[in-house]
Amino acid sequence: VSDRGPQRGGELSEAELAAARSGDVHAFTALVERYDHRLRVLAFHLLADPYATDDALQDVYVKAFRALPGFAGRSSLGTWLTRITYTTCIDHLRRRSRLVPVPDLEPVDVLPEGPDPTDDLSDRRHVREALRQLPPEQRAVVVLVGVQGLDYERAAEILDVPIGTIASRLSTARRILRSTLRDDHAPLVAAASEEGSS
Amino acid sequence: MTDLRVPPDDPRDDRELWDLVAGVPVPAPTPDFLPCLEVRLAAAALAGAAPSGGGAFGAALPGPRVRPRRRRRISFLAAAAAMAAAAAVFALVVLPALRAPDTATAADMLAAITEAGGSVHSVRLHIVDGYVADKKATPSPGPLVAEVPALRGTTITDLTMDDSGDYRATQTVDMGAMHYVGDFGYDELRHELRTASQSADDGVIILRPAWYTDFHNIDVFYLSFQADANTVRALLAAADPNMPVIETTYLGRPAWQATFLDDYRTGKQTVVVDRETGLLLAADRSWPTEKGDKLVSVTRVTQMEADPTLAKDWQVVPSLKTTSGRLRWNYFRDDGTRFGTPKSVAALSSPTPVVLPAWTPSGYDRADLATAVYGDPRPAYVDDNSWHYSKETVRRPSGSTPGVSVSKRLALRRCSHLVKALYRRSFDTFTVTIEPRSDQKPVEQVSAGRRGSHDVELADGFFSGSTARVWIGSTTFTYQFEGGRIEEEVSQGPTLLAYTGDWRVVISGDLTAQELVDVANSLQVYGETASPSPSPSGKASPSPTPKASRTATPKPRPTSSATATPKPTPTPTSPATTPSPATTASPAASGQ
Repeated sequence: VSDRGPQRGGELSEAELAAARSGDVHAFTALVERYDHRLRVLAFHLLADPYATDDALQDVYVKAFRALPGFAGRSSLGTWLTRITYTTCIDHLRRRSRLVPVPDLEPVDVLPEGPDPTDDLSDRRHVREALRQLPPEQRAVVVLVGVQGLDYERAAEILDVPIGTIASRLSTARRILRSTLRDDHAPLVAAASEEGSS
Repeated sequence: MTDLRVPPDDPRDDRELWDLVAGVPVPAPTPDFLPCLEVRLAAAALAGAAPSGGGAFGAALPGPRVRPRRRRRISFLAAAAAMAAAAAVFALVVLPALRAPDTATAADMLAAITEAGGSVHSVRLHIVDGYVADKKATPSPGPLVAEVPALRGTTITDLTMDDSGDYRATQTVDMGAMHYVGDFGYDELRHELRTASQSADDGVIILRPAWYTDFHNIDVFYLSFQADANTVRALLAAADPNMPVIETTYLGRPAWQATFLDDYRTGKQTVVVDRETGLLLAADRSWPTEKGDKLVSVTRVTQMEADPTLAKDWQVVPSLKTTSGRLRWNYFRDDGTRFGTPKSVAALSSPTPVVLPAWTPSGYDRADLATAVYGDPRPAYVDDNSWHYSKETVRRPSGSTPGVSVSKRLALRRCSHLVKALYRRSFDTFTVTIEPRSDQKPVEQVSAGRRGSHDVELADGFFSGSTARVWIGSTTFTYQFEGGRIEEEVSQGPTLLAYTGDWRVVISGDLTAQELVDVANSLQVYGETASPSPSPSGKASPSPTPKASRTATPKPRPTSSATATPKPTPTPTSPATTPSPATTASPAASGQ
C-alpha cells in the first residue's frame, strides 16, 4: 500500500485539496471519505474499540480541518493525517488509562436461537487479542509497516521516532505476536497458513 | 509461503503474519459518523476560521511557515482601517464563535433537547451502571466519555426501544452474591409485557393486558434510567438559564453535558444528553456518605445505534417450548388492567373518575389510558387451572395444557380501581394517575427532602385549591398499579403529588416543575362540561367545579356514583389557550 495517496477513491485533485483548505466543509468531507479507512485501521488497532475509534477520528478530522490551511505539503497529506491520528489516539489512550473496558455481554440463554451476529468476527478474534497485548507504540508500527506497507522512514516521520526504533519495535512486535499465536492458537495459524498456500 | 516456524530475517517480509493481522476486521463507521462530523466541521468553521497550523501536531511535521517579523511603518489611516476591520471581524466572527460551542448555556440546552427527537424512531443502547465508593471517589472532571471505570454493583443492560412504546431489555446484574440475567419485552400494540430470567426453569411470565412499566415484572434499573433521563429537562429548567454547559461529542455524536449541584450543594450530578434524540447517554452522581466517603453512581451508554434494523417481533420475549424434554412453563397472567377509551375506562373504574389534562406541552399525545385494580378488593382469580373467588372455587376452565399456567383476575367490577393515562412525545413520556387516597397524611409530609421539593397551590382543575408537592429529583415516589401495597415505590423522576377528597393524583415523567403544575391545573374529569380554559402558566383562572365526587368511597363496590357515571355524549374539555413561555400548548386530552 502506497503512502503517496489516498487508499480509496483515487488521488485528491489540487482543486479538491484547495477547496478543503479554504474551509469548504463538503470538500473536506470528501477528503475524509478517501482517507478514512486507512486512518480507521490505525485508530481501531490502537484504541481497540469501534466507538472510541469514531470519537477519536472525529477529533482527528476537526483538528485537521482547522490545521489544513497551514499545511505546507512538505510531507504527503496521508502522512500528515496519519500523524494527527496517531497523536490523537495516544491522547485518548492516556485519558482513559485509568478506565477499565466493559466486557462484552454474553448472549442470554432464553434469547431465540439463531446465528450470533458476531460469528463472522470470532475466527479473527484471537489475532486481534494477540495484537492488543502489544503496547500501542508497537501496534502502530505493525499497522503502518506490516499492514499498510509504509517504509521505515515514513513510519519514523509519522511516529516521530528514529528509524532504528521503528525497526526494533517491529521486530519485537513480530516476536511477541508469533509466540502468542503459536502457543495459544496454533490451529488457527496453521489453518491460515493452509489457506494462504492454497 | 513462509513457514511459521522459520520466520524471515527481516520482519517486514513476514507477510504471513502481517496478512493475519490485516485480516482482523475493522468496524465501519457508525451511520451517524459523517453527519455528526459535518456538524462539528461546520461549528469549527464558524467558531474558528482560525487555522492552528500543522505544527500543532508535532515538530516533525511541516507547519505553516512563520513569517519573520518585519517592522513596518503603518500610517494612521491604515491603522484605523485595520482597527475597523478587526472590530467587524470581532462582531461577525469572533462573537458568534464565542457564543457557539464553549459558552452554551442551560437555556440553549433546554431549548435544544425540548425540540429533540422525531428524527430517530428507534434506538439500541448498551448501558453500564454501577458505583464507586471510597474517600477519593470523584466524578469525572472533564467531558464524560463512553468508557467505564471499575465499578461495583454493576448492571449491564442492552435496551432497544422505539417511539411507539415497544422496548426490549436484556439485563445482567452482578452484585457480588447476586447474579441475575433477565430479559424483558413490551409490545405496545398488544399491551403485553413478557419477562424471563436466565434460568429457563423460571419460565416466562406473559402479562396481558399490561402497563408498560409494571414494575413488579420488569427490572427497576430500566425505570431508574428513564427517571434519570426524565430529570434532565426539569433540572435545566430549574437552573440559572446562563449556567454554562458543554457542547461535546459522545460515542461520536454531538451531545450536551451539564452539571447540577443538589439542594444542599453537597452532591453533584453530571449528565450527557444526545443532541439529536435528547436521550441520556451518561450520568455521574456523587454524594457524601455518613462515613465521610464519597459515593459516585455511574451510568454510561457505551454503545448507541440510532434506527437499527429490527427483526420482526424484536420486542417479544419468546415463549418457552413445552415439548422439548423437561416441562417448562409459560405463565399467562391477567391482573385486571384494562385499556380503553375514556368512556369505556370510566365505566369500569367508577367511582374512581377518569381525570385527564386539558393541556400538555407541545408534542405530547395521549398514548394509553387504562384502569387497573387497586387496593384489596378480595378479587377473584383463576389460578392453576382452577377458578377461585375468595376461598370458593367457582368453576373450572375447560381443559388444561401442560406447561401453561393461567392466572386471571375476575370480578373486576368488585374491585376498586385507579386510572392511568400515558402521554408520549418521541421517547419522552409522562403519566397522570388518579387513585383512591389510602390515608389522610397531608401532602406536606410526603416526599420531604427530595430534590427541588416545593409546594404549589393548584388554582385550576379537578384538584383546584389543593396543595401539590412537586419535586424533580429521581428518587422515588409511591407507585401503585397492581398488587395493592401502597408502600411500593419506584423511581420515576419529576413528580407532582396532590390530594383532594378521596383521590390522589400523581403526575410523573419528563416534565419540568412548571409543566407539572400546568398539567395539574388543567385536569378535568372526563364527561364534565368544559371548564374555563386552564392557564398553563398556573395563574388565576376561575376554578371549575368538578361534578365528580371528591369523596367517593372506593371500598367494596358501591353502586355507581352518579358523579362518576360517564355521560352518554362526552364533552371534551377545552384545550388551553395560553401556553407557558417555554412550551406551546397542545390540546391534550379529554375526549376520545
